[in-house]
Amino acid sequence: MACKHILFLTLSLSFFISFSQNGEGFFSLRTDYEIAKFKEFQLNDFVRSFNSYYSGFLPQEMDTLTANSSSHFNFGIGGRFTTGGRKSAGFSGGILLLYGTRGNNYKAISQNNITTNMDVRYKDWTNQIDIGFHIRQIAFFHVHMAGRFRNTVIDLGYYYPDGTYSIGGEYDLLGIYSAKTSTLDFGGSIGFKLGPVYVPFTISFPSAFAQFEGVSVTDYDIRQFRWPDLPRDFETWANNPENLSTENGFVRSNTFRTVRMSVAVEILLNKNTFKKKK
Amino acid sequence: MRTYLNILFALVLIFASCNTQKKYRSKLEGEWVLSRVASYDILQDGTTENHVETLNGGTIIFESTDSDSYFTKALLNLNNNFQNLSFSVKTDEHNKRIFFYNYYCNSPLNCDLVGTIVTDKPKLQIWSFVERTSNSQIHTRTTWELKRN
Repeated sequence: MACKHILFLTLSLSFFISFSQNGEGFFSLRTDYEIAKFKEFQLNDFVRSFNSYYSGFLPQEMDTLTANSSSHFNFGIGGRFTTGGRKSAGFSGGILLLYGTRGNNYKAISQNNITTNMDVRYKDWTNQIDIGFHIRQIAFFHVHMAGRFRNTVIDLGYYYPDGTYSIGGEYDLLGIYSAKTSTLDFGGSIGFKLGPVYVPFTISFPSAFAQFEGVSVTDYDIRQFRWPDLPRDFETWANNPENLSTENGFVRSNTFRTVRMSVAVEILLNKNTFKKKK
Repeated sequence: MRTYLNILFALVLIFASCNTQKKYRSKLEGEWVLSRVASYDILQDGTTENHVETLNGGTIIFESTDSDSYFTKALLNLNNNFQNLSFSVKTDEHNKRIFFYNYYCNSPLNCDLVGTIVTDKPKLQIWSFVERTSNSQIHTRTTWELKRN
């Protein structure tokens, strides 16, 4: 996954370097915290149906996902350019490559002392292009387009009563499920720059452009009776897997789309950054 | 500026070469000693029983195959049992599970075995496999410890 994003950055920075010959260009180091809100909760259908199926047999049921459970820090690099100088208004823009990750753990303990352990990890790459204008290189107003590439990996394993862990093939449910959610996000930001420090406040919305593939076991699994995809309706999956609807019977990758709000700190560097002002 | 772009280009090449499954396959290739095979039953109260341990039980050779770059062919030789048992092996994308395809079993069906990679080091691999009884009351854990020959 990282390969294509590095390629994007290489091409983008080449563009940025050539463009900045006519204005002022900066190399950017960025960190931000994004509050990501899910738009759908299909994974919670699985959790609820799992709890329901084992109702009365689970002293501790599995918790459902909360709306912002995939919020996380991002780190990244990029380039920014401005035209018009520091004493007037002008165009500004930027190109960013960001990476962030988040993990959550969910557990259900059954009466036979087996713990069903669900680790959910999100790995997010964001390739963002900002375009807009600035006022005296202090206030910046941008709209942006971002390619958002989320890789969600769900480890479903068991802790046995002796404390040992297994993610093997002894039960059909166990496995490593993964989904890739690619969206084209649109949004805007307002930012303020003081010296080399730039602080933008951003909001992004995923567009309808998304993959509609199901969450499925990452690799070619053992030849098993049930579907390798993570079901929304666990009870049907367990009792009558042939009755599961291929249309809406499984957790789909588009359930991991989010609306994002973030506040960032960027350090903007160029050859003038460390020069003493006369 | 040319230096700067060269560095970025080198970064692209470095990242383009990453594939965890292929790395794992490369790591496995060659001969390993099955230095320890241990199994025991896990009861519902957390106690264990019927411990069995075999030391230096045999060898296993992993060879790359042409059919699929993720697979390796395994040739298992146990000292007092199987000779030249051949099957295909691969891991998942995250190198957490190991798959034995068409592995030996008593049934003509369901001869795939999926295990958990407990330890993953260049000269030491520990894999565990769990079986369950028909009523799921007792689980049997078998652990393979492989050391590079």
